[in-house]
Amino acid sequence: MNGSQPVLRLDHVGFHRGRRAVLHDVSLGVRTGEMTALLGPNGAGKTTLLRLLLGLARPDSGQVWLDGQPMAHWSRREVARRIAYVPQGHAPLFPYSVRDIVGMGRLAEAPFAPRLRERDRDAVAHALAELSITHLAARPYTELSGGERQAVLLARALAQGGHILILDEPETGLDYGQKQRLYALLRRLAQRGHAIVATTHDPVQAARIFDRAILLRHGRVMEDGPAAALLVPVMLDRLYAPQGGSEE
Amino acid sequence: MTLRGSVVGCLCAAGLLVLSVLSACLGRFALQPGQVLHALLTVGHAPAGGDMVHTVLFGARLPRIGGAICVGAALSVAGAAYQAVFRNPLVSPGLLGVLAGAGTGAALGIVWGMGHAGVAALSFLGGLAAVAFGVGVAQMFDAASMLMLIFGGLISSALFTAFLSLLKYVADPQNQLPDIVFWLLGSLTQVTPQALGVLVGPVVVGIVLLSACGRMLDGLAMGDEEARTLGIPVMALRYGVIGGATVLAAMTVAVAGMIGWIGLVVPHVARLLVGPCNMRVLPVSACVGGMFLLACDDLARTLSAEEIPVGLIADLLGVVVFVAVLPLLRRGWRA
Repeated sequence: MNGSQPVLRLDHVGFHRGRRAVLHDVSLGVRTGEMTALLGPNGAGKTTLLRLLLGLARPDSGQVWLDGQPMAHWSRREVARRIAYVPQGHAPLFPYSVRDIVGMGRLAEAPFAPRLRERDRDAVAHALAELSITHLAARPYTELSGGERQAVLLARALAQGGHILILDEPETGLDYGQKQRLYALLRRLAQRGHAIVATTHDPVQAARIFDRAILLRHGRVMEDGPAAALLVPVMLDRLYAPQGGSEE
Repeated sequence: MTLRGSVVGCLCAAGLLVLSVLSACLGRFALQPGQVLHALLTVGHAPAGGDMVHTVLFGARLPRIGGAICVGAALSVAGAAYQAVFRNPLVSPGLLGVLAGAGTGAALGIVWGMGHAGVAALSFLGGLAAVAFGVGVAQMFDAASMLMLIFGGLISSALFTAFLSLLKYVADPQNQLPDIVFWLLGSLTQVTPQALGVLVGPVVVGIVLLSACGRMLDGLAMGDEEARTLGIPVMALRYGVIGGATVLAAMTVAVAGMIGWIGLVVPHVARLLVGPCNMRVLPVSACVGGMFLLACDDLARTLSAEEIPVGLIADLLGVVVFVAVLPLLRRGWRA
């Protein structure tokens, strides 16, 4: 773990869905230059935690801090300029081209502009080149494979230009080669000063690739530390043990 | 705008201009294109007291042509906006009850014996009231749920359709009921220069404002939460666009009665021409919708000695166009 100040921080956060507690007293910080993996069994609260980090949900107790200010201080556009999100692959109903989809990453910059400005087009072209998918630019997104869609969504996040990148199970649907290229890209981004947070169901890869792991169980942070040290069989047995009496 | 978008935009504008001149020539008092162009170019130098060409052209045909273009454009843009907001290609402007509400308002005005202006005003207010009721129902349960919004619209449509049936039941069958039925069939016969003057400004402003939201509407296609991570104020955009599209649709019913299918079919034709991006779909829908209703109105005026309600023609032609383009549309949809 590096010693810089967290750019995104949860401070004693609790969250309820109805009367059911989903997260209890969760505190963690995300730093630039660091790759953080978020692991836990299904129902542990990972998705809720991501929604809080993205500012899509407000905590019932505690505070979420972004760049030293409470999340509520920032407008939706200002959050989008700082945090980019890569969801799991999906497709809209209408056949937008890959360039259109990546261009959506520039919406926070000029939402009412009739077309992308020159610097927006440059950002889109750069993101497409970074992901090596420039040749797909004119293709309908709806006709792409799962791996190609994941690459397009990652390119959109890069075009968005934030310094925090949050990914929801980014390796889903990728073959071995695509996963290796994805991890290499995430490492490059971290070295350039991005903060990377990703949920994953692959602890073996996470131990190899990520700097840090946060283990979530029953809506609480079970462990938070160096990925290689934490993601060992005895800890994973504890993490993924059957959740009898689960609170989620 | 892409080259394709620019070419399609220019062709649409040129097509609308040519069709407008042709429409001005058609009718019982036939005019030559040269007469129409000459009259347009000498509009400030009309003979004292006016001649027949000027009277027919400026008193009847041009307001009607303008009305057809405005109503067709407004319904098409409202339909395209609704389809984008609800992420559903089968949605039309009537989804939240605006058409049922506007029809009920018009019927109420006719039953109360109001003049045309009063009927139009009540129709407009009825359309807004129906959508407000549908949105209110949705807000009572879950303001953020699109499904609840659709349920609210269904409830509102059913309620106002029931009110409309009740008004038809109590209306005088000799005078009022035929007027209600004729209104509901849709017609441009009541478009006067004054009515057109009231219609043009809000329709143009509405189309420009909705088109300006085009790129954000594209982002909305990715889902609400993802759209928020892209910086889009989802709820403000959704309700703002619904409000703008509702005003446009309600104005069309106030001026021309119920004209269906255009709001459903034309946006699909526009997507075939310029692709799915709403920044292009919305203005091209306006152009294509204007041309479509103008062509329908030409047929309504000229197919028989008695004028046929334009709503009937639009319904029939709309079905034909939709069936013709459906195989092309399915290729583009994910499902």
